[in-house]
Amino acid sequence: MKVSLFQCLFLLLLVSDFVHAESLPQWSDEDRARLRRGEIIAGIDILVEDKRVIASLGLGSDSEVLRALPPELEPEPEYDPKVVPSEFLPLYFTSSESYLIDPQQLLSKQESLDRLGFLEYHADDSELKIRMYLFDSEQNLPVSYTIEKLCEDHYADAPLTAIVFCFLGNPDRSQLAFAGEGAAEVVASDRRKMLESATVKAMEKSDPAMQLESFIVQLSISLFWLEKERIEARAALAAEGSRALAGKAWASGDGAGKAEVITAIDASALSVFKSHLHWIILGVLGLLCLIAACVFGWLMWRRSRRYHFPVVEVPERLGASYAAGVGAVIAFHKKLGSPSSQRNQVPDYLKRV
Amino acid sequence: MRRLSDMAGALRLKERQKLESLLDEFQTSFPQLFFSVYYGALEDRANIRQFGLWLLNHAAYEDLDISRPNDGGILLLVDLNTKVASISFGYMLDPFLTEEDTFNVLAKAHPHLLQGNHLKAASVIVKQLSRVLRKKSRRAILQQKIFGPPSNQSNGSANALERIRSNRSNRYAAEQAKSKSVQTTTAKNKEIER
Repeated sequence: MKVSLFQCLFLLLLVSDFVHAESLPQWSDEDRARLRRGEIIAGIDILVEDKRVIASLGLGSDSEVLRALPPELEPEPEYDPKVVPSEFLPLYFTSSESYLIDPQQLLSKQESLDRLGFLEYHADDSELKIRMYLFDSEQNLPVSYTIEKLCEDHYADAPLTAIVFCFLGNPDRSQLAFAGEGAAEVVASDRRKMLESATVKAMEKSDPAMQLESFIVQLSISLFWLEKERIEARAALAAEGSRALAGKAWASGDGAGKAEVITAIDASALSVFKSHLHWIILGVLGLLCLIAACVFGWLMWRRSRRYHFPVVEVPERLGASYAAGVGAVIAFHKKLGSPSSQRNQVPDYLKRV
Repeated sequence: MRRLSDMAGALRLKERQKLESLLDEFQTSFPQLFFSVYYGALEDRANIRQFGLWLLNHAAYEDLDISRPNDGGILLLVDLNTKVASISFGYMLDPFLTEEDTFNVLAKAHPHLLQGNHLKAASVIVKQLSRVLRKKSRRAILQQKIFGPPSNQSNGSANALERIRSNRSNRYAAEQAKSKSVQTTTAKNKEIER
């Protein structure tokens, strides 16, 4: 009996603890007042969102029903592979210090570093820099953003630079323009050739990154030759200018002109050559006469020279008093009998029996 | 006999004149030597070497000075019958000219001989041989200067002249002896008849 009483007490204790732990939320005074006024309907959260039910309850759409809705996410704009995203356009069309402009990060970091490294290497070696703008293969630029506009706006005062729009994976669409000082001197045909050769080289590769590499290397080679031509043309122009200057100075004979004459040595040499041309011609003629006289004299001397032989007593042979010389014999009765076939002759009468 | 004997009629008059002037030039360059050309039509059985040897030993050149003995002679023999050409030379050139030298010279003229252009062939031979002889002469003189005169060398043309004279005197003596022997035999015959 005692044991059952003890068990009942223990169970009562446990139940009271559980009840205390799982106690309901407490109403605040304000909420209780609103509940009494009917402004809050308890348990409405778990009711089915049925229009008829809501209507029967007399709740409108503007009612201040507290709902636990997920936060609304802004929809991402759809990616159009044919359009350059507008946020990147200003990054493209600004003056940049880098030789590789890739704001869309189309290349991986390593590839980008590699290409940039080569472009910087080229820029160190050459006066003609390359600015490479990277776009995706299908991307089209807005009409107002063109390569010509970029050249005019940002590279007009820069040294001669090759601006390249490169569409990754689509070398056919590449564009090349020259901007800066002397850009007008680069003939369109040369530019076309350069672009074609670079494109062809790029097309040999299948990987877009490799295509870009080949494109840059070939373009760099073409630019090297262009630079060489420019240097030669500049040198020829300078020489011509100095020659003209020297001619003027020589004609005028003023002090300042004379100083310029010293710098234009070749021009002065030419004018000196012209002034002394008749003497030079006379000298050459005299030299030729001298040579002819020497040759003639040598011929005459040779003609008049006498050749003697020491007389050696030779014992007579075959009883001949004057000659027993065994000279050669050659037959010429047939054309096929060449002299070489008749060379080794042994006279029959000299053979020992 | 003359230096240029055209028995076969191989050359025209003008060609003969040209060749003679060429032979004169050769003689001017080589005062001890002379060059003789003989165009003939020999018999088939004749040996051109033997004929050349005989001719050079027995010919008396009427257009040559006596200071040029036959042992300084070079004879170009062209047989138009058997189409064979040969070069013979005297004792004076024995130490200096070889058969090969003469053959090389003839080989140079072979195309002209084939074409029947005998003047051209002869002029080529004379010029080529002159070139060879000039070289040999220079070398011989140089050797003489360095090593001294050869032991069996005589005093040049003077000795040669002496030898000619001796040869001529020998011949004269032989002829005289022959005539004497003839005379003696006739005298003996007369005596026997008596």
